[in-house]
Amino acid sequence: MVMAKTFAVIGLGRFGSNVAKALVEKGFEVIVVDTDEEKINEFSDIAAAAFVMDATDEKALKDAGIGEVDCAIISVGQNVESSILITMLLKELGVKEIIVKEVMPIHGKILEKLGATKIVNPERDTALRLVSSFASPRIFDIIEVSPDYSIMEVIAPKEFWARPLRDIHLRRDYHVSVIAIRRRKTVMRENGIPDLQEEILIAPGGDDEIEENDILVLLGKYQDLEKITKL
Amino acid sequence: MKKKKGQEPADRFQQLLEEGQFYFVNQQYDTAQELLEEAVKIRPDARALYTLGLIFEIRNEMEKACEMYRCALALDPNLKEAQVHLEKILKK
Repeated sequence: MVMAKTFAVIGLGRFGSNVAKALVEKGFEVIVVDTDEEKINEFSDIAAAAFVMDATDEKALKDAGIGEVDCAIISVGQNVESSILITMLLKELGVKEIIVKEVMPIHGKILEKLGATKIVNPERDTALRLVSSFASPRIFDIIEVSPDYSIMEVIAPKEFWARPLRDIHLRRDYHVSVIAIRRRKTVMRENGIPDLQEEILIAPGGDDEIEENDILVLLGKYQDLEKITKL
Repeated sequence: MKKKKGQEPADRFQQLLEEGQFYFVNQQYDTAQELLEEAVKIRPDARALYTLGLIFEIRNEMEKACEMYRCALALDPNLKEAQVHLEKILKK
């Protein structure tokens, strides 16, 4: 049997509370922590446990069982000191996965050194997506998987149409890999209304041909991915 | 007075709509678009506008697709397919 993953969300600002709600909706066991009683009350009925406490207090963290969770998400607003201290305490308590919302780039570097497993910066990620969509309307979505690599959904350039992947040499010539191809097909529903049905070709092979209107899901360095959008 | 022979606008509209949808399902989008635009000129119709929305969506022209879905919903707020597609695009 697969054990359900347990989470702790420390700090219930906009980011933290949205993450906590999404986790609860997905059916995960979530412990929430904040110093603001009002915010905690919002979660008292839906979270596995909700604590009004200062998460920089080691004993309080231990008593709340935060050391037992599989993953902790720290989002304590602009308070750099607190998030550094909490990261350190959680590491000491043995939390395997620690995700921290970065306040500024140097903060992220310190957190990495302290053992945070993932640093997130939602504002920067959103800005990157927004700028990319302005820069090229052919970009559908972009996800940063590491500081160097991103996954980008891009409309298949015209010069790729009706060609098998092995002829395009995406890896050799563009240094990107095709993770998937999103393709929409037309269908007529039983009620006589036409519709679109999406199929996703995961890890397409060399024989797979790119069709007009396909959306390619590519993995690579941002500057290499960007080249594809300019074809 | 004798009635003039020829196709009534309502019949012509229906024919254009059906043919437009036929060509859409058979992935001949340019022809489908021409026929459906012709149909809309005769009568603004939610199904025709919705199908035009699908054509723009499949061509990844999302702004135009949204416009078509919005027009379709203005004419028929119960056309849930248009609502579903519009919401999906706006969520992106």
